[in-house]
Amino acid sequence: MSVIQIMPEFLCNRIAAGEVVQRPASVVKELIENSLDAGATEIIIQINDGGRELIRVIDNGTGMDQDDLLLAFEQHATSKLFHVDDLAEVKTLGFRGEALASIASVSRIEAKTCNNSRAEGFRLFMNGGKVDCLEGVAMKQGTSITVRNLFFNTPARKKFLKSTNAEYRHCVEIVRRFAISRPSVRFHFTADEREVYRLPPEDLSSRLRRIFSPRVMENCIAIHQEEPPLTLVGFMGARDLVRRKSGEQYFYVNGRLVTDRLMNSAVYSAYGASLDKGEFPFFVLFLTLPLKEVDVNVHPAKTEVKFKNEWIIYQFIRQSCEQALKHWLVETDRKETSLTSNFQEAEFQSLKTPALPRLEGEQLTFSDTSKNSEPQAGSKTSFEQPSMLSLDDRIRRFEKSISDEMFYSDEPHSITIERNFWQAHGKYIFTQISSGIVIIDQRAAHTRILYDRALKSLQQISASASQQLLFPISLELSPDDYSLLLEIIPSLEKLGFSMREFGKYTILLEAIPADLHWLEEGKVVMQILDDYKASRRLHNPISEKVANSYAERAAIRRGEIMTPAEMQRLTDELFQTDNPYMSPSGKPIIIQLTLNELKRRFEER
Amino acid sequence: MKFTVSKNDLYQSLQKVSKVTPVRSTLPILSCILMTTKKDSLCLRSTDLEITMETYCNADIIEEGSIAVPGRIILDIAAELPETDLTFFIKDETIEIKTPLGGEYKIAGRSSSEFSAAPLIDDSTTILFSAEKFQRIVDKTIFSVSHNEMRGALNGVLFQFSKNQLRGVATDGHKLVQLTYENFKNNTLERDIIIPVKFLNVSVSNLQKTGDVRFKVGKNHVMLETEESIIYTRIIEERFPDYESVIPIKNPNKVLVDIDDFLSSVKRISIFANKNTHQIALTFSENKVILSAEDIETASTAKEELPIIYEGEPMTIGYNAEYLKDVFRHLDGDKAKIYLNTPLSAGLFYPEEQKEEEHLLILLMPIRL
Repeated sequence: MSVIQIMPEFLCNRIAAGEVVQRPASVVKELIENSLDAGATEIIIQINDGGRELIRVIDNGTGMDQDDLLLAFEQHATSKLFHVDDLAEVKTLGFRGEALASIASVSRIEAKTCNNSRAEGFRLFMNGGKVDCLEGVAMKQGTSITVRNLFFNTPARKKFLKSTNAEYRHCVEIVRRFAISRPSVRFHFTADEREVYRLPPEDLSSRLRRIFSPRVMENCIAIHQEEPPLTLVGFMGARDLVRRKSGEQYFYVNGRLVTDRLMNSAVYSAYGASLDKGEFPFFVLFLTLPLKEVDVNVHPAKTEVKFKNEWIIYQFIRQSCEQALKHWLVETDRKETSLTSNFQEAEFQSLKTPALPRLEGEQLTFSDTSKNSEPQAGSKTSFEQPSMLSLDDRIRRFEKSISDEMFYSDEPHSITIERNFWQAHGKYIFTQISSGIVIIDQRAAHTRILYDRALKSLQQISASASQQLLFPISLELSPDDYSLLLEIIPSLEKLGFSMREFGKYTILLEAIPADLHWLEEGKVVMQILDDYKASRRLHNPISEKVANSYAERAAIRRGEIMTPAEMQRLTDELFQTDNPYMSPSGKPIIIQLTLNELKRRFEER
Repeated sequence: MKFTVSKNDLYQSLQKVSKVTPVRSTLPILSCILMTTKKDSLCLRSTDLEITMETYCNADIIEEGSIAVPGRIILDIAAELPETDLTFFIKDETIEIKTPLGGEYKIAGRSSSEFSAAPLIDDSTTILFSAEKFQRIVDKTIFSVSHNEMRGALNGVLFQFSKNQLRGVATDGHKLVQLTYENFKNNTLERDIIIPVKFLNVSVSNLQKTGDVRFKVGKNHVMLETEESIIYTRIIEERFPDYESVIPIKNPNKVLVDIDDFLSSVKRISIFANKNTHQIALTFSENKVILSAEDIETASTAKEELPIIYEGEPMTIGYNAEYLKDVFRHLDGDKAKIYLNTPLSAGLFYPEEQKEEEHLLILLMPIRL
């Protein structure tokens, strides 16, 4: 007798059950999927003892006839997939045809179904995968599956179940996932006769409000981004909803909840550096894309999918989320600003009489140098600050920009800055706005300005102005750095660097961007190269990466003392950038303290 | 320790030495001025660890001693007092100042032992040369010194002492100034030294305008002696770049311009230049130059034409207007000569007429437009 034999079917099913049915929650999942695939608009879920004793899912879907009912519990019996081509375009949640058979093999099942309005249904009892009895029954259209004594015949599996509470929580989580994905379906979920969810058909935001809490929705940012054939809709939490653990990230691909680390990281990266390591933002996102662009058949529990063009989708998600966040920042800012009663009035008055800079009298001098260098800037001894504009130039420019903002600009993000600047610790610029005060991180602000400027020059055809060097600098590179540098030389040249080959693995730097006269020429190139190297794993375009490294390296350092006029200019330029609130790497640039908040803090006991 | 000093004498001396005192320092002792009694005078010393300055004022020494006094407070009180005799009593580390009018002021000082000793200059060579030449080298070159503290050699002015020549050179890598004195009588010192900018500034403001300055050059330090004070500094011990090799020799395009006209034109045009790059363009052709600027960010443009004398091929070259202004502010006389080669090579700027025994050259690197 040969050693190898074909396994009996019941054994096959039990083994398969090990994959598909790991715990009561898996049963709940499979049953709800079936209900939804059957077009149910109402689903009732009941569990007892964390699902060990009983799991019942009742729906008002299409139902089955007698033959189908029997077939449904056969391995690989499905109504959802008939042809190999169908696999490439799976529309339904289930398709493998193994769920019911697997569940049936490890439990006692009672299945009732009716596919007509005459209430002529059937009832099937099964025990450990074997049919006990099939009989007619009167019931409404739909299907009801009751799973009792799960794992009664696989003691090993049963032993590994966690406590009732833990299993209960898993079930809740499963129901929650489906409830989020189908807000138009009525869900009713009870556990040990206690109601957990009673969710009427509604839209996504009220569904989320019901499932989570009103507070969560208040801090959520709506996303709706279409870039045919891709669509991304949903909500992402503002920074208040950042959690220390993962678990509140819901990412649906064509209605199917999946866990995809890459796409999660796309969302995380949109938050940029405002997320620390080990922090996870809340989000509920629905990605819709052509069915053939995604393969769902990679995991038995179907929690993973494979995208054909994952980087395109990564970019799409990241950018959509970034935009939504940015938009939200601007909006909340406006809202907060308009909260103060005198704001509109102040705005209105400033429209009529553009305020002149009251620089001399009003500034708070904070450091000795600012006091010293101011009169100097005018007389221009040119020793202390060689490359700076005269004060008059700056005031003129600032006035112009202010009047620009007030009269011509319909940009959403123009806070009217009143000209009172002072600098703390050589790091932060404080200034007053009508609704309170803002604190600007000077380095982050400058990084944003340089980044935007760099991106702009990178898009231009001609290179930026570049200051030729009297003493060209030779850079000796390792072979891999050398090849990497060759990769970014075209971008660097557009920024205003100029270099040429000078022997093996040596580059001669002959010119630097004309607006960067304070930099250490050779070092900055090497630093940009290092940053670029470190960012190689990121998948944004070269220009973004180069612009980012460049901005990071060329920005003024923390600790650099600035004159009030310089601070004005920086603030002024900052508000002309695309996103004055967040640095390219995602760090916040501006913190606002509203008068209300200050007041509240002072009045707190 | 006890002494009496005239307020005016003390105040003048304090003003001098406090120029060296660092504005911000993590070492509190550096914000102090060291007072040490000498035979008939009081020695005041301040330091920022790089530069040390000593000056003397007449005083009536009653009891010898030495104490470090907080610089700011002593300077402020001296400024507010009328001319009178001040008597200092120092006990332990407390300084008490009394005036004949009955004023009493007390402050806590620090032990003189905290104060770093004045640098020892051994194996030194002394060289004497005219204060005027020293002053002029500083005036002409200092604007070209690099302000980036990381640049080492470029943070000072190179003084080249040779047998018949004295030359000062400064560069920040974008512009370079070279001022040479021929027929320089010097038998003692043949050496290149890089002197930090702060020392030069402090020295020049302390210098008498005529007569000679006495330089004492040691291995790591240089010391300048004037009638009332001594200033020491550490020499920048780095290699100055080989500047002579970057001065272009072949410059076929020659310009002669009026310095005042050109400078005012640059000033006007630069108002319309990009505020970050300050770039302006000079287009030379036969007998005229067109100065122009454009700033896309503010949508501004400007253009002016000036008559010049020009020999060479028509060409356009870009410069940082701020640099160009600096260059022209440092050229003496009515007219300047500019020698050019290509739009990417250094431009050479000279006064049309050099002063006697003197040769001034300013080099400016262009901006690629």
